[in-house]
Amino acid sequence: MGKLVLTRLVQALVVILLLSFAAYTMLFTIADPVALLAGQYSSQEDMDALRESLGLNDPIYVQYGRWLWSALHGQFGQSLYMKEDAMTLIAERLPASFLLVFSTLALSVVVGVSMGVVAAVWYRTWIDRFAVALSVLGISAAPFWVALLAIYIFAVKLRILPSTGYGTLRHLILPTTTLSLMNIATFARLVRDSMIESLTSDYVRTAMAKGIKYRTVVLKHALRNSMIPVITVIAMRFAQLFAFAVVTERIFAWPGSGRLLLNALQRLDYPLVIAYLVVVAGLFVGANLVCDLLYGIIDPRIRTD
Amino acid sequence: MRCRLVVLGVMVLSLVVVSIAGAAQERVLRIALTGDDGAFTPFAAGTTTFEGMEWNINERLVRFDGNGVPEPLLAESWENVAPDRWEINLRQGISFTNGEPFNAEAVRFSIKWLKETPGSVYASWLAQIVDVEVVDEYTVHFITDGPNPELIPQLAWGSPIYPPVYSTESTVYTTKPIGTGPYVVVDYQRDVHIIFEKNDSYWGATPEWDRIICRPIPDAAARTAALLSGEVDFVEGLAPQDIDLVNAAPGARAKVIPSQRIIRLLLANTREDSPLSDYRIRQAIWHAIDTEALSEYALEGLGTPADQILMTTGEGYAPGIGRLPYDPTRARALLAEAGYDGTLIRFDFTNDRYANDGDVGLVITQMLEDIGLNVEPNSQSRTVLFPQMQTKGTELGMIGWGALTMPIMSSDGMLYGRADEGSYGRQNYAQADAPVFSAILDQLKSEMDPKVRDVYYKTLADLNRFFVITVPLYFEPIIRGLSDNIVWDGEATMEHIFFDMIHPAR
Repeated sequence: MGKLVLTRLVQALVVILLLSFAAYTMLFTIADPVALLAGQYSSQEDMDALRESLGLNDPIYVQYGRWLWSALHGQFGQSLYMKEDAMTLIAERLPASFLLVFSTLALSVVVGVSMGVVAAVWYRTWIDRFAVALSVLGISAAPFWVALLAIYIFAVKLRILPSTGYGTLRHLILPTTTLSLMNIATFARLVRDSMIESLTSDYVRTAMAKGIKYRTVVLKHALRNSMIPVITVIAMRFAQLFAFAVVTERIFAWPGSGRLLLNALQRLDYPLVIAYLVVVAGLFVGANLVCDLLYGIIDPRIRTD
Repeated sequence: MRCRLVVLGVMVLSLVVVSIAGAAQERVLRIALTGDDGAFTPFAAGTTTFEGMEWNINERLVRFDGNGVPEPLLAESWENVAPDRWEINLRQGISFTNGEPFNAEAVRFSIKWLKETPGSVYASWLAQIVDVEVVDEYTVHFITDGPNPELIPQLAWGSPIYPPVYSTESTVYTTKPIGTGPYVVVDYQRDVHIIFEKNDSYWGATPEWDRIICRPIPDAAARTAALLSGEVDFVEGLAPQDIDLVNAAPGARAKVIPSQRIIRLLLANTREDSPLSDYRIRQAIWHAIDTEALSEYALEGLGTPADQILMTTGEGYAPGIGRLPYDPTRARALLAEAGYDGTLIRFDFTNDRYANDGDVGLVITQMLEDIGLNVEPNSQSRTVLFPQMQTKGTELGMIGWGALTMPIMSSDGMLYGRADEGSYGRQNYAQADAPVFSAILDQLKSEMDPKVRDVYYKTLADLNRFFVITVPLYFEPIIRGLSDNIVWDGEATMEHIFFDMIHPAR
């Protein structure tokens, strides 16, 4: 296991290196961040002075080298607009983002897996068809549309939930549910298909012939095998949700990191964008590592060591 | 005994009732903003929204009234005592919320700090000030680079007064600014909320609100929802398509006023290889645009058609000089006369900066194509387009300018740019120029007599009718959503949200 962790760490560093270099070179081809920063009313002299003070007159590889050097010392630069350390700004957002992501995943897993199990056990009955229909709906519904519809119904018309904002449990309900829909659908389908395969396999028939209760067979044996793909998806979705719940965050005015990224991109606040990419890369790698470790726990056959 | 118990009970009950009533008397204003991502610092180009927040805390020396005329605020009176020297008398008895006194020294510190620190967004407003002298505790002298007739309006924009403690504690102020204004920030969580409370020791009229809670809600539909659900009282930036919905809903209404942001066309008349170097083609472009129809179809009728680039209510507007009329026949004749050969003209415009700018750009493209011009619409995000226009220029472009309460700086900055010493020219991305314009402008910038300036403005507007180096289109609308709990005295000259212009409804 130690070897696994070490390999992954090295991979993470390589990914971050490549990603940051690509981002650095690409960002500046979009447009000139100095022009945006200096604003419309500033003079050519102001812009030139600003450019010089930011070190943007040096060639790209020099600038990148400078960034890399300070990154190795833990300094990822300062936001051009908010004049604060980029990593601190991102760290401020992490609690809100994590809250949303974990709640979404928790809800999705609980509801999705249950739906999948129920659908598999009552395979081909109306329960199953209903569950499948719901999951198709969930996957197809665009999150932003669902979000606005939910706000309209629950906040404007019924007035039982706040439309936007952050701070209490009630504020969490709508964003979590909106983000969960697609994931519930995915997990339900995944578990259903996997369980159906398990339930028609030999070892299940053997177990039942041995007299083990159906419920035990379903939950202890078949479900456990079905969890492997679920865990893979959870790991992927975790990082995806964290990085890209931008639309939902924007609509619900949720102070997460996706919104921070969007604003930073719009203003070409490049230190913030690159710091953010580093964090996301780290998260992806971390999530995959946890995923691999969990495989080993769930299925001893897959211990990678 | 029982009688005493009853009396005691009544007293306790009435205390409880009074305290509940007292607590309920707290006046709270809830505002939905279009965005956040700022810091209370003058050293980063923030959003208009955030700047507006700051204006309530760090007051300026003067302030604009509804007609764009500066009126006293922290300054009581002023006088131009020599061609390059203005004397400002400050209001006495004011202190900052940290106890430091507001005086000439604070003014001097603020102006110098804003001028000298790199990245200062106010440096351009204060560019013509060379020095600030403290004459006595409540009198300052501003020394300008030559005669500067527009110093006072420049101060209305660019002179937030900070306490001298800012020079030493430079990071404190980003979240807990200190100023002389009617409200103070008590809690700022970026992207979550900014909570203000009234400044009990404010020198001016008692602030009407005990607390003001500002929440950024970036999505326009969600902002409208927050108004309709009763969660907010004031919405900045209501979407034009939601106006009817809000007006029809009980408890809320929309209010639209024209702003001081003019949307106009930039034309590269000095570019040799462009068809736009011929004045007849430029005139044809102006004749081809029907601004009433433009406003109706692209702006839900909310744009205010303009015939000059300056506001009708402010200095600089020349009555009697109208726009070139909408006349497609004349436009086609002009193109023929000029011998237009079908050369492609690229038209640059944003699609995410001004209200419905993408649609406006497309409608204009169609109007131009209608008279026979070959126009390629280039609709881009402002993130890409503004830097591109600033660094590489544009042949035909659409852009807005929102500081018309400084007509001299606006005229110079919008129209007659050269990257020279002493010239603004900041938004002349098409490098337009025309005979005599520069000469008149040089005179305008240092003319202290307003009657003479009026003649210059009139001449410039008149010359533009012939040389057409810019086409004024319309003034952008300011659209706000209001709940029935409040009243708003919105003025075109103040796009920022001033808390003292929002009142509880009786």
